[in-house]
Amino acid sequence: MIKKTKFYFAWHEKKEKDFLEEMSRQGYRLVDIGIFKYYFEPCEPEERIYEADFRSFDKLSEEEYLQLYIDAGWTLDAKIGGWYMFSRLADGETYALYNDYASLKAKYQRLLIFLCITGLPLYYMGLLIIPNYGLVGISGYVGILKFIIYPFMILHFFALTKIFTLYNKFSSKLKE
Amino acid sequence: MTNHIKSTTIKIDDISGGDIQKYDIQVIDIGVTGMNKFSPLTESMYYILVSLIEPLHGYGIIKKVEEMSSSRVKLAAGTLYGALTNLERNKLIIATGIDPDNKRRKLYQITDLGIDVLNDEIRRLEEMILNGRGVLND
Repeated sequence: MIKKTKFYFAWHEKKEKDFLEEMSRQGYRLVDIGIFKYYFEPCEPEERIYEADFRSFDKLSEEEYLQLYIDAGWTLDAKIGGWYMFSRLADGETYALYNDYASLKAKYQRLLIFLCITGLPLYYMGLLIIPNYGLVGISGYVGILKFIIYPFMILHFFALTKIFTLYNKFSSKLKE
Repeated sequence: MTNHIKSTTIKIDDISGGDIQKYDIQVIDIGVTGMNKFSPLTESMYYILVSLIEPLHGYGIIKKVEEMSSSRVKLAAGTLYGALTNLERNKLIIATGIDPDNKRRKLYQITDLGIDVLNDEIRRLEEMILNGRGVLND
């Protein structure tokens, strides 16, 4: 198994897709995803189409969801958090997981909701707790925490704006 | 759900007669159609509802819609799954059972509310087609 460290972000789906497709062309098949890590197994070089999906739901409907994708010809290669990475062999036709604006909008809406919920404790810490502690003058522990929380907060905010832009794009296309 | 004005029909003569005002008024009259909260349906939603006149599982819907539209409409898996969840939550379709071959496949069917919404959409589309043809055939 080959491990590749790579910083991937939710708003870079196309870039990740291209990277994975290029890897399969070179004979590496994706088998797992970790935090900023891809794991590959050597395989015969092949033309593969990769697509990422984002979901959040209970166990029962996940089975149904995966079955539907399998029936439609997709294989689940890896899963991390709410992200599912599917692939299929290319056969000349174009394949996507979503092919109308309403469902694309819904995908990014799910992602936005997820980001907002996960962002709450981050912004709570970053904007309320840490600045207040700073005023009292407690250093050390809180000082270290600042270096962890703030980069995450900036990254999170960046992700939020990026995903919102995508959501907005499909949302306005719907109104046409 | 709104009640529909069943008696209102568009006569092509009225439109092609060149009486623009009359034409405008008629459109407003018909406007009651297409006022339910699901209107207008997306192409995917519309075809899913049409196909679910009989119980089908997800992949069955994909196949049937493809067949009905002579391969023009190919529902993507994610689009279909999202639409099914949405339609079920709004009670336009209902899960009626599971596929005997695979318990992970749920079977869905259209509800009475779904049929009402579908009828409403058909009326809306018919109005659009009639108006469009009426103008072009002039």
